[in-house]
Amino acid sequence: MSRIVKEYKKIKKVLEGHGEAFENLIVQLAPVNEYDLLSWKATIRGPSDTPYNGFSIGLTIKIPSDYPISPPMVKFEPYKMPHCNVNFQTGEICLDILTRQHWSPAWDLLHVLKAIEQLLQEPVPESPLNVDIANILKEGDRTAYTGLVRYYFCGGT
Amino acid sequence: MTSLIRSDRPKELRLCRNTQAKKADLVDGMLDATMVDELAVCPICLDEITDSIATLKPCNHQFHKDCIRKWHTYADDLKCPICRIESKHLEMGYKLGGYHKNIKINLEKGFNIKITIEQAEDHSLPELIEQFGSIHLNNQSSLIRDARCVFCDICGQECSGRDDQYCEQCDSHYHEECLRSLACEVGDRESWQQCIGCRNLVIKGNTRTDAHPHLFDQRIVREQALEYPGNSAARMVSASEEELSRLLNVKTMIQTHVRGVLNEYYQSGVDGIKINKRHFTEVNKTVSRRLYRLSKYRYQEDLINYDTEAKRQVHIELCRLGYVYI
Repeated sequence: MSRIVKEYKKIKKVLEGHGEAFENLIVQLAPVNEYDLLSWKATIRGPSDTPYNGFSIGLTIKIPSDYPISPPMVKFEPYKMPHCNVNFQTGEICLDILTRQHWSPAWDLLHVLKAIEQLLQEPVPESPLNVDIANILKEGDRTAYTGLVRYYFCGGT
Repeated sequence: MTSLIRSDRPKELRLCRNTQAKKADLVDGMLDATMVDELAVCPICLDEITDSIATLKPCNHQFHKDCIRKWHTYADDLKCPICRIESKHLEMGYKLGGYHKNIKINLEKGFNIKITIEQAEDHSLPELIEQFGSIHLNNQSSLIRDARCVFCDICGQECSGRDDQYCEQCDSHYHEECLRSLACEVGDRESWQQCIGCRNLVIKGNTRTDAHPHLFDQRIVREQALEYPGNSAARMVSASEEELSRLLNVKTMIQTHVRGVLNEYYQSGVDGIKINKRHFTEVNKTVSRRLYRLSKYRYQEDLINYDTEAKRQVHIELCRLGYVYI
């Protein structure tokens, strides 16, 4: 438990210090309330050079009780996320470092967000959770991809 | 599965490859900001490492002994959390009577035992025999040699391996794997290095060297000793088949009680709690195992009221899973 407290202090320090590596990525990363560090929310900026550029994307992070031995559970919530490796209905993310097999206890929440940023930059249509977007990507139709993402972000259902 | 670790990816997330370990190519800029006290901090708990340092070999990354062992009992492989290089040994220092000694733990051996225990718990025993039976036979034929042995105080078989543990206080010997499996069985995998009698730290002692010659006079057992291969699976296989089927039977009997209790929760619900299938199997597994250990691997209906005990344990487990009784 004290590990997440330490991590919280560290994250506060990094975000206040405007660490350059994260200024372009993290809008917000904080526990939902200060008395319960097991439930976090994060907001990240869509990376430039992707269709997500200019949008803010919300995430919820649940810390398991045996963290950091078990990986944190990260989801795109509360808003739906159009991405080929994200389940559109549940927000579940298909990312290996968030699974039991590939997680390492030496990583922290900042690493996780960095990995998610990388996933946004480099979608992997070979292992899709959103087949429609994966198909568009496989065909290399960049315009349709951008259009679809923007459609959802700008109020599509 | 989306992979960010594969080598065709940029190395941002592959963390330090450097064997000198500390400063390495972490995510750009993260190092300075987040690892201020990096030199003395355990990467797992983020506490400073003051004592009980454990070093992974060959990559030389350092952790708290307890942290890294906790990770190893959980992880599916022996890769270093920092650099993902497969670890072979864990080197630890400890003080004994004013001397500072280093012990080297063979991680691969312990890891195989862990896998075996997990399989023994998950698979039925006959499958295990099938799986390990052939290995056992091979080793049996190749490893017969004449040896003067002392007994392991847990399993009663010869201590003849290089990795055997010795307690100086009680003068007792243990197989490393016996200590480990016992620690697993009592649910405290971390404390395996304690002597069963006095709880002192055991040391690695080759029971066949001249270190304790007097022991050999007292305890010479057989001239022709059969060395069992270094894992508990082989030892289990060496138990008679009747014993194995008895154990299996005990497991089934205990599970009947637990299932009975859980079925009520699953089908009609009890006190406002209705569980799903996943929780059913999960709780069934945990509680059955606990009762199995509790009853010392025997079905003791006259001593233990299994229904009440199962109800109690299921209650505890469900609370742990977050169910609330109305």
